[in-house]
Amino acid sequence: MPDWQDKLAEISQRNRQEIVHAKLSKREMLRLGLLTSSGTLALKLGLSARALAQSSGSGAPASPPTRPWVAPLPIIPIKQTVKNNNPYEMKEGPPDGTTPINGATRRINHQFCTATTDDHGGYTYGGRFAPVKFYETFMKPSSAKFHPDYSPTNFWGFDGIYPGPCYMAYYGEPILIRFHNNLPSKKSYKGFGIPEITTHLHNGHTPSESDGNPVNYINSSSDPNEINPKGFKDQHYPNVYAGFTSRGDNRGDPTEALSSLWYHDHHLDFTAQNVVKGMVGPYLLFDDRDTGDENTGLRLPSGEFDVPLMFGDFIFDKNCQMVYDLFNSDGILGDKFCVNGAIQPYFNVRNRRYRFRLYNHGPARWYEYALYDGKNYLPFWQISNDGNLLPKALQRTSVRLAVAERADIIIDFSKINTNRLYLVNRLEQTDGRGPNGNILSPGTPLMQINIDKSRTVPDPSFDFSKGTQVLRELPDPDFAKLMQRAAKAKTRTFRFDRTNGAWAVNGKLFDEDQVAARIDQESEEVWIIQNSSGGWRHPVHMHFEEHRILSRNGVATSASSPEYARKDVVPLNWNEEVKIFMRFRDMKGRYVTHCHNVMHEDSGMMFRWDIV
Amino acid sequence: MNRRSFAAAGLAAALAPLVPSRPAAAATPSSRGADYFTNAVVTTHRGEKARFYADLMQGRRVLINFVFVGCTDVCDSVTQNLVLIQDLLGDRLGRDVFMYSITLQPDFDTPEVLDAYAERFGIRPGWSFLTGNPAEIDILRRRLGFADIDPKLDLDIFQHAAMLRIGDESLDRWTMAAALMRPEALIKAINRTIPPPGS
Ligand SMILES: [Cu+2]
Repeated sequence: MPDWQDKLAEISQRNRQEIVHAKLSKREMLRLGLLTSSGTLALKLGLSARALAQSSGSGAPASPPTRPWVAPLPIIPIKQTVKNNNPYEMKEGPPDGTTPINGATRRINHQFCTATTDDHGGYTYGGRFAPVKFYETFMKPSSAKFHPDYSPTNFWGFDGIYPGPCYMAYYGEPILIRFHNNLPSKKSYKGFGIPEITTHLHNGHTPSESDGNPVNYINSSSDPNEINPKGFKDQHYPNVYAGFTSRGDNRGDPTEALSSLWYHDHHLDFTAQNVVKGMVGPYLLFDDRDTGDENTGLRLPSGEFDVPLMFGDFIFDKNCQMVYDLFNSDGILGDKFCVNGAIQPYFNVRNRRYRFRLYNHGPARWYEYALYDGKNYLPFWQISNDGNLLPKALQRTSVRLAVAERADIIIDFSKINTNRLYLVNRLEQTDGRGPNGNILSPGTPLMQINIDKSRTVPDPSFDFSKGTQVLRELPDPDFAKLMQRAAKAKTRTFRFDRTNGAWAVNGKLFDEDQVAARIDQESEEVWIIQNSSGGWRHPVHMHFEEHRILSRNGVATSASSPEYARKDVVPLNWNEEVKIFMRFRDMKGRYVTHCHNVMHEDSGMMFRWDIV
Repeated sequence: MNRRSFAAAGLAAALAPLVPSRPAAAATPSSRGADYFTNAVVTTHRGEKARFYADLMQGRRVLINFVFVGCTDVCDSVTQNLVLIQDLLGDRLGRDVFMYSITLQPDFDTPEVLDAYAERFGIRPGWSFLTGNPAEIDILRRRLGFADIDPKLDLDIFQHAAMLRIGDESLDRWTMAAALMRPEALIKAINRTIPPPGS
C-alpha cells in the first residue's frame, strides 16, 4: 500500500481517537478520580453520556471496526408515483384537500389546492396549484447493513430505507405526498427517537401547512386519534418559483429556481433524534434550464451521472445498533462516516463528467470536501450553493458545508490521470461546537472513487473547461442596487446565544406560541444574525425563502465567493455578524428559523415568524 | 480541563490516576439503568435517604433540574417557575410524574437548608430536593447532561444550566427544555415527552 494510503488510514483512526479524547480527557478523568476518591461510588461507565457512548475506556474507537472501501456506494432509488398516478390508489383513500396540524389536534384546508366532490362522489383536484402527481411514503422501522462487516442496524426510514427515496420534481408540476406514520406506538416504543413525524422539505417554497413546521407532527397509525385516525398527513408542494404573486402568474420568477432540496423530520424537541434515526432523503427540482437531461438546457450530467450523496456520521454499539447520546445538547459526532447509508464506500465511475450533489445531513458535523489523489487536491467545478445554481460555475479544490448546506459539483474524471482517488473531509471537529479551525492534510477519507479508464464513454454534458455558460442569473444581479434596496428595508436583529446552558435567540427559547417577527407578505427585510455564544458555530437555516448574504462583519460578499449566491443556510462563525437580505412572498402562515446543529434547535435555538 | 482551571478548582496538587473499572457497554436502553444513573445515595429535603436509580428513577417519569439555595437569582426564578409547573401537573405529581431538584452545592445545602427552601416555595409531595456526596452529585450532573463543554464556564456555578431534564425512564425517552420557559409552553414540552395518562 503506498505511503499516503497508510496515512489516510492513520488519519481516519486518529479522527476517532480525537472524538474519544476530546470529551473525556485524561486530565478530566483524573479530576473526577480525585473527587471520587472521597466518595464511595464506583465509576463504572465513564463520566457522561458522551463518554459512555464514545469511549470504551481504553481510548479505542466506540464503533466496531470496519474495513474501508469494501461497501459499494448505495444509489438512492427514485420515488415513483402511486399506481397509475391515480390518487384513488392511495392507502386510506384519495386526498380530501385537508391536512392535520398542531400535533394532529386540528385539521385545515390546503391553501393552494382543493378537492371538490363531483357528481359521482369522487374528488376533483383544483386550486391555484392543483396537484398533478400523487405520491405516498410509509415511514416505518427497518434494518439494513451499513457495512458488510456489520450485522443489520435498526433505523426508521421513509419507505423503510435510509436515505429515503429521491423525488424528481419539475417546476410547473405541483405534487401531493402522503406521509404515512407507520412507526411504533408512542406509548410503548423504547429508545431514542419519537414515533411522531413532521416532514420538512428543506429549502422549499412551501405553504405553511405543508412546510413540516415543528409543531405539525402527526401521530403514528398505532396511536389513532379523532382528528387523524389513520396516522397520515398529506403535504402539498406547488413546485413553483417564488415571486408568482407580484408577477400575477402561476409561474413565478425563474431566477428563483431551486435544484437540490432535501426532506427530513422536524419534530419539536426531537428533530436530532429522528434525523439520526434515519429520516432524511433528497428531493430534486428541474426546469427548462436544469432539465435532468444532459442533452438539453444547461446540459448538466444526468441519469446515472447525476448522483445525490448524503453524508451523515454515526456511532454504533457492539451489536451494530445506533448509539445516541440523549444527554448531550452540544451536538453529537459520529466516528463512522456514511455516504448514502454505507460506511466509507467505494464508487466505480466511468471516464466522464459527473454531477455530485453533496448533502450534509448532520446532525452536527461540518465538512470541507476535497478530491485527493495521493499527492494533490484536484480541481472540480462548483455549480451550486445550497443546491441552487450559481450564476457561473466556480473552479475550486474544496467546498465547505455546514450542517444542512448543499453543493453540487461537476467532476470530469476523464481529465484525471489516475484511476483511484478519495473524497476527503479536511475539517477537524472534535465536538458540537463546530470545526476547530484546523485544516487536515490529507483529511478524513469518506469515499473511494475508482475510475474505469479502460474505455471511453459518450459524454454530451457541458464541458466547463472549454467555456463558460450562465447557469442561473441571480434575482438581483446588481449587488450595488441590492445594497440600496437593503438600506431601505426594515431591519431585524437576531442574536444566537447561550444563556445558562440553554440555546437561545435574542435571549429567548423557542416557544411555539410566541411570534418573534410578524412580517408583511410581499415585503423585503434585512436580518442581522449575530453569534454571541463564544466558541460555538451555528448553521442558521431559514425556512420558506432564500436570502442573499450581504456582508460578514461588515465586509461585503465578494462576487467571486461561492456565497455570492442564493442561500437558505448561513454558517455563523465565531463572533460573526452576518447581514442578509430576505423576501417574504406569495404565502401566509407560520415558519421558523433555527440552528441546524439539530441538538441546538431541539434545546431552544429556534424562533417562529409569521407572514401576515 | 486545562491546568489553569485545575488550579482554580484547587485540584492541581493531588492528581491520582483513575482507570475506569471496565470498558463501557454501549448506551442501549437495557444497559443504562443503575450503571448509568448510579445508585448514589442521596438525601431528600425531608431527610429520607434514597438510591438515585433504584428508588428515584427506575420505571418513572421524571423532571430533573439542578439548583442551589445560595444562588437566589436564577435558581429562585427557576424554582418559582417550576412551582407553576407543579400546579399545572396537578395530581399527576407524585403519581405519574416525579420532580427532582438536585443541589449544586451539597456542602451548603443540607437537608435542613433544602427543607426550609422547599417550604418557602410551597413544594408539594412528589417533588424532592436532593443533596448528597459532592463527587457523586457531580457525576449525576454530568450524566444527566448539565455540564458545560467549556471547563471554565463549567466551573462557574453562576453559569449553571437553567434547564429541565424531561424523561420517561422506562421508555428511555429524554429531552431537555429551558426551565425558565413560559409555564404554558414548558408544560406543553413536558406533555409532548411524557403525555398524561389516557391521552
Ligand atoms: Cu447551533
